[in-house]
Amino acid sequence: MRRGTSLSLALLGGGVAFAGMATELGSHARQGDCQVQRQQDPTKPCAPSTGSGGSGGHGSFWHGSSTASTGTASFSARGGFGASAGAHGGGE
Amino acid sequence: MRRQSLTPRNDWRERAAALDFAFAEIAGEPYWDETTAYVFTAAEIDRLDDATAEIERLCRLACDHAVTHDRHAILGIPESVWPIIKTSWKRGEASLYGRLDLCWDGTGPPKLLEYNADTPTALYEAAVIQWEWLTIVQPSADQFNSLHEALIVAWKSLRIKTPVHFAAIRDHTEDRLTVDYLRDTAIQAGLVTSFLTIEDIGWNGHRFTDLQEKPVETIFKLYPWDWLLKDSFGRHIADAPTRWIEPAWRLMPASKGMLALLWELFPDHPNLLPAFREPNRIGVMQVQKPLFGREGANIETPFLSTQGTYGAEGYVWQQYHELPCFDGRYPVIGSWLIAGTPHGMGIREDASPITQDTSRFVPHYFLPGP
Repeated sequence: MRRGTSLSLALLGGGVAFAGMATELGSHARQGDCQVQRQQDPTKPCAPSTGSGGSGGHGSFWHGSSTASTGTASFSARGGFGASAGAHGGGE
Repeated sequence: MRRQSLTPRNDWRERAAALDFAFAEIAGEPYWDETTAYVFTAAEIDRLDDATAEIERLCRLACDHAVTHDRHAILGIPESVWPIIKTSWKRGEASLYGRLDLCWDGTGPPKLLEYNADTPTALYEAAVIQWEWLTIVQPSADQFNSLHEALIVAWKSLRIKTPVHFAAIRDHTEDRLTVDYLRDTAIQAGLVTSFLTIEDIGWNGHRFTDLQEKPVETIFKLYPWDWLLKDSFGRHIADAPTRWIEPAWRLMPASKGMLALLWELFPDHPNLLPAFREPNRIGVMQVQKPLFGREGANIETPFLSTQGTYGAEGYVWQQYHELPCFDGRYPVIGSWLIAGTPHGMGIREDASPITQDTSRFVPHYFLPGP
């Protein structure tokens, strides 16, 4: 299929399901996600591990800082990804 | 191909809001701009479709060549992480999506400017927002856009373990919308999903984990591979069984070094521009691009340059090929591939010949017939 319309109509029921998709997307954005709630409760184990996490900072261009945490068997270390993020985000 | 001035719908803001398009305006300026549309013939759309498929074919051949002959240096990928890239390619890990940025004025062959193969955005506006515009403003016309349907089909074909985690960096509206949209298409494909910020990905000593300490089996991440590998947890990637989308091999076409490799392997191909890893091979009419630059940052052309934080990783020099100018605006065609097949396009235009994160998204349509 080289173009859009005919395939869209075939799969989306002439646009009816299109609106449903948008509604569902909206519900995702509004409901909030589990981890948001958990981040607000520091007693939960998903909170960043004290003293062992951290962003790690910037090392050389390709090699991250040696401060990375390896985590423990019980609770994961967090914060080991994200240090390279710039102001414009990860997309382009 | 022509640029058409239009009167925007009175309720375009409300319509954008109803579709949760949170950045239809950025800092009070329109990002979604329906005062303009680009109009194509069906034959012109066919040419873009064909060029997109051809460039994708070349890129996959070039990736295979790079892996077979260990050409990581031309791509700017260090030897320390090269095995991760090679393994990903040899496993045949599937790509979900990518966007070619093309220079074209409706005549001659479209030219590849770069391949956003790892973390492309401007997807929701291409797949949904401009489609909604078409159904209202140009209902009898067509649009090069089957992105939404193709994404759903693609998710079904990936054969991945669920749940699929979707990750973006914290507090970034555009990235979050892109990830939410892709997550929505995965849900419609029947997959179980959840959201996780990049910063909240955990490491338990053996596996990457989510906030419930459950293993991350499969993750879509809107966070580039050069950053993942540079971050402190990057050292765990090779040992973890997590399946990443986009897969690690997408770092090859995402590198601007791929432009030089393509030109080396397929010199004088009509859809390519001369490009080299060394300066001044082309003459003064060249563009200097950081290998892993983003959003038009740190670009130097014969006439202007942009600021940014990229460049330490090295550069590629590509022949300067100025974007076409329509009514004082320079459009770039973002031609989308879903699972390696062309499925639509989005156009962004700017008053400058360098497309940046502030460049406006404008809709397009095409007319039936030849």
